[in-house]
This record gives sequence, C-alpha cells and structure tokens, in this order.
Amino acid sequence: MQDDDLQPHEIDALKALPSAIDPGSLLEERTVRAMQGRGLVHGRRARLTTSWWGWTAAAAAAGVIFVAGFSLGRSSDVRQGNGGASETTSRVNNETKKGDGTRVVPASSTREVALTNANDDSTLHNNTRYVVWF
Amino acid sequence: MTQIEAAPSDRQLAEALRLSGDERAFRTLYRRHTPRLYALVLRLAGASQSDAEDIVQETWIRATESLERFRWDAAFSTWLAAIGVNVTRDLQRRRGRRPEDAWNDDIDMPLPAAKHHERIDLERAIATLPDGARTVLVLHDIEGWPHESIAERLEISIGTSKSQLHRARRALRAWLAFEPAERRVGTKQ
Repeated sequence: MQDDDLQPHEIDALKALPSAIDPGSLLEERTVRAMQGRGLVHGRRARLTTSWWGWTAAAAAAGVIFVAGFSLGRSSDVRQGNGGASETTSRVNNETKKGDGTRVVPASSTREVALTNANDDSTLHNNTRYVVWF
Repeated sequence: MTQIEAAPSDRQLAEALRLSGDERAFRTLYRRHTPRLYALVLRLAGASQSDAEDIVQETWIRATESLERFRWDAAFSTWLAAIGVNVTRDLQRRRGRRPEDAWNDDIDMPLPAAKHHERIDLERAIATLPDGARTVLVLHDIEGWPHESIAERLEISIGTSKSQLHRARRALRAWLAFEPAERRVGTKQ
C-alpha cells in the first residue's frame, strides 16, 4: 500500500459525508425566477400557447364560439324576418292617408322607423344582423 | 386495477423543458438533482452557502441553455455536476483567484502547526484547503471521479491532479489527526 492511499477509516469518514444536501425552497423559487427572466422557463398560461396542442385547442375553441355566435345570429334574424312581415301587414292596415297623400304610420319602435323609411327597400334587405360573440 | 404511473425520466423532463420551457418539468428535474449538486458545489466553494446557491442557479441556467447539445451519452446528473464544476471555477476566477495559483505546488497548505492536537469537523477541514487541492479531493475522494476526468474537466495534467490530491490528503491528515482507533472524524462535533 502506498503512503498516499487512504486508510480504511479515512475512506469511511469520507463516505460518511452527506452526498445530498437540501438547499431549501427559496433557492428553487429564485432559480425558477431567474430561468423565467431569461425565457428558459414559462408559466403554465404561457406554456399553453407555446405548445402545438395549445394553439390547436385555442383555435378549436375560437371556431366553436364563432359558429355558435353565427348560428345564433341567423336564427335571431329568421325570427325577426317573420315578425317583420306580419308587422308590415298590420302596419299597412294601420296607416292612414293624409290629404296630401303622405302616409302616416305610428312609429313606436326603432325597427318600425326603419321599416317606414322605406321607400328604400335596401333598408329591409340590409337589416340582417349577425351576432358574433367573442 | 390501480395503474401506477412511472415517474418521467430525466430525458423526458429535459425534452419538455427544452421544447416548451415546461416549468413543472423543470421543477421536477430541479428537485431530483439539486440536493446532490448543492452538496458538491458547497464543498467546492469552501462551504460558502451564498456562493453555492449562486453556483446552483447559474448551473441550471447553463444546463438548460445547453440541453440541445447534450447527447445523453452520460447520466444527466454527471453532466450537471460537470457544469457545476465549471461554474465554480468561473466564480473563483471572477473573485480574482488566478487559476495558476490554484495548482501551484509551492503555495503553502494551511497546515495546523500550532493546533495539531485539535480535531475539527471534516467538512470544515476540507473547506480550509486551497481551491485546487480542495477541488481535486472533493472530485476524487468524495465524488469518485478518476484523475483522467478531473484533469480533462479542470484542464490540468493528470500529474497535477495527483499531486494536488496528495497535498490535500496530507493537509487533511494534519488537520484531523486521523487515528484508526477513533472513528469520530467526519462527524459533527
């Protein structure tokens, strides 16, 4: 055995030293913040949009919301269209004709005002509204 | 039937960290490897807790930045420890300690001439060693690195590594006055 070789009790002493020491949670938080500061680690919200499935999920959700809003708008328009026709009929019955030929129609709502404007048929046709919620 | 999910491997976690900066993956890796890394760099840094914390933080940053180049031909912990050794050396250089001084055999070791009879804690004795001797002793005698790996990592010759180890052991024996009959060395007093 060489002079410089460790003796058994020396080896034991060195082996007895702890091979792992917990530095505490503060260092973990400090390290995570430093990593975030350098853009090496992202929080959960950011991580969602930086992964491919995050983008896919976000796009799908946006599509579903768009279609739902579009359908709602269409169905609302159909109801308005039916109501508008009957209102037009009743309004024609209710309108009075003045001596000078001017038609007077009771305008109690915005929609009726819009309808009365109209000699402009485009108002009726362009009155379709679509509601899209975001 | 209960399914037991296997813990993700270091490689899986490292990939999640590299590809998407997954914080949870990083924390898992951190908790798995930091206690061992911290014990190593704490000894290399001469028992300075603040230095060891700085080194751990910088080691993780460098490791994450280098993940793309890691080929997984060694254990993740071994690779991380090697980065920790580099970071420690860089810190010591920034502190104004010239690298050549660390390996200079002419520099006196802090032998306890007047206090030869005193026995101190092994950790504190290691911390008293000069940077070079302490680094080689920690890597060889505690971490089990061969001289070839130490020489390569520290950019020194194998002969220098061996001579530094010899000096470190001699100094430690003087400090600790190892006696085979008494096995109290290495334990806190």
